[in-house]
Amino acid sequence: MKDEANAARPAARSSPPPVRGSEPIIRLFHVGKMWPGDPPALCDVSLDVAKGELLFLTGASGAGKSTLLKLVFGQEAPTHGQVIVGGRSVSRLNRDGIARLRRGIGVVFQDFKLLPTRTVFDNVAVTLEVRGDPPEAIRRRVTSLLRQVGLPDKAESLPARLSGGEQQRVALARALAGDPAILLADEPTGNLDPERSEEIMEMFGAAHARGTTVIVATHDRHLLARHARRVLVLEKGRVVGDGLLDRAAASSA
Amino acid sequence: MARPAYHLRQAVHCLRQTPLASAAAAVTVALALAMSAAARLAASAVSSALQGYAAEARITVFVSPPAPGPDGPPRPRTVDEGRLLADEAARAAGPGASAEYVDPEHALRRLRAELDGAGEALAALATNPLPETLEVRLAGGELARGNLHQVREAAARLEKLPFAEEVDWGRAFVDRLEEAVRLVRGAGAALFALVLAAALFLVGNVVRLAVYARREEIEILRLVGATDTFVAAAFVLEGALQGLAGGAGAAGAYALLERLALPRIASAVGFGAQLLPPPAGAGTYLALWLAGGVIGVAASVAAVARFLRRIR
Repeated sequence: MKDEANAARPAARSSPPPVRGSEPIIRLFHVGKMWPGDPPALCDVSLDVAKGELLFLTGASGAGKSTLLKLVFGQEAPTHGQVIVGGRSVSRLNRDGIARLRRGIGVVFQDFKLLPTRTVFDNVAVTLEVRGDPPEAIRRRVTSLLRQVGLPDKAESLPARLSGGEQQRVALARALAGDPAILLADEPTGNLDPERSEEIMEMFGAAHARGTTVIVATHDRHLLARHARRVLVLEKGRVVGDGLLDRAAASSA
Repeated sequence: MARPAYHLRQAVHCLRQTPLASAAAAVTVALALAMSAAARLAASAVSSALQGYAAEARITVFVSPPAPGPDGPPRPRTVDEGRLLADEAARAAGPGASAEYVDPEHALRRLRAELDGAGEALAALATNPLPETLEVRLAGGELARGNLHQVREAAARLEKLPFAEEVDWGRAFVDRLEEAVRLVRGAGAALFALVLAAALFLVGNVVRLAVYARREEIEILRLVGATDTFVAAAFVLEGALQGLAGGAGAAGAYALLERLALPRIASAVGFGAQLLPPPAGAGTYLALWLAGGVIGVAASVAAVARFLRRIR
């Protein structure tokens, strides 16, 4: 695992690399995250992610990728430092503020986090229901998304009846449903075969092309080689590399 | 609640998904409310029975003997004079009261009849020792459902009559009766409060278990941007539906208890209609039904709020 990460590691930089948009939508200032009794999950991480940027986080298991994503959408609060998303400090938001923040962020969780007692349709629709969208608009949007992810005939199925790959696609459809400004994905292709992985990555690419800021956490070397631009490498909670990936080098490694 | 139809749909969906847990919550509410209402009904029935004795209350006014005349011993009152005193006493006792003049001879005849065979011994008396009295009965309608203080007030008014030498109205008995009614009512209220507290605790735990079983769903809803209000709405509606179902059950149980069981119990213990409190109106059933809803909502709010505090 470590070799894979090293193969894709760009040179460590003292300042963030140039990015597509000029204004950072996500900023981390000397962020640390610790749980009592455990080694630090993140140590002094500073990071700017511009609007519309596509960023890959990589590193071995336990390097802090998932923790970093959780800090961005407010599932965890930093122990030190500041996490600024859309100009607002996440740790200063109240519970309703956190909810509003999350409505602008689509997340594909590693374990999907689908509602087990609700249908595929309802699982995708819930993102729009919490925003209070009109029922007819929700129906159209969800139907369209299920078609995009190749599950139009599974709308009334429960998640337990779907394969891992299908559940992954439902999770992606839910993340995209609100047309979020930021899309976070934690190992989004971990359960998929190469063909399905490519389909999923194409969807991330399409969202990125529409201007969505996309952060993908993965330790899949092939995925990085094919799709990565800016890559942030984490090791034991510290940033050990941040820069544009030399795809040719990564592919040959 | 921004999306009532959505939340109601979700609540009904969840009730269908967990029929046993939902039924358990509803039955708990029904039992708790029915037990509370039964405690209240029992207290009311005992109170009614005690108050019923007041309806039998009879006030005896001992009339002062006529003043001696200038020529010698007093002239005995005529029956007409006695009736005038009775009318005055009835007016003093209050609206609807009646009074009967009982002269000493009449009283003696009645005593002889009451004593049956032993009454012949009274013939040996040289003089009639019984006094003139007025027997006052208060309006049955006022006292049938008890207002013991009216007996006390009527007696006080009768004592002020100029011809009243003494008024006997069973003061000690009525005092004891009032104390007993107070005790029964207090015990009923305490039992009601106790059972209601136990009900809230039970329902709260049942709902909390249901919420705990769906903690994953709550966490996911929060993660996709639901506010606490949005998350809680479906649970609160679900609790309200369970509570209303339980309240309806309690109202049904109360109706059965009041209309079938209580008359039989009253008859079995020999109190008859005296034991029966006034029949519950639609308001009582509505209150029971709504109380179920309120308990369901309160338990749900407490359970969901407690769980939401634990997650970010």
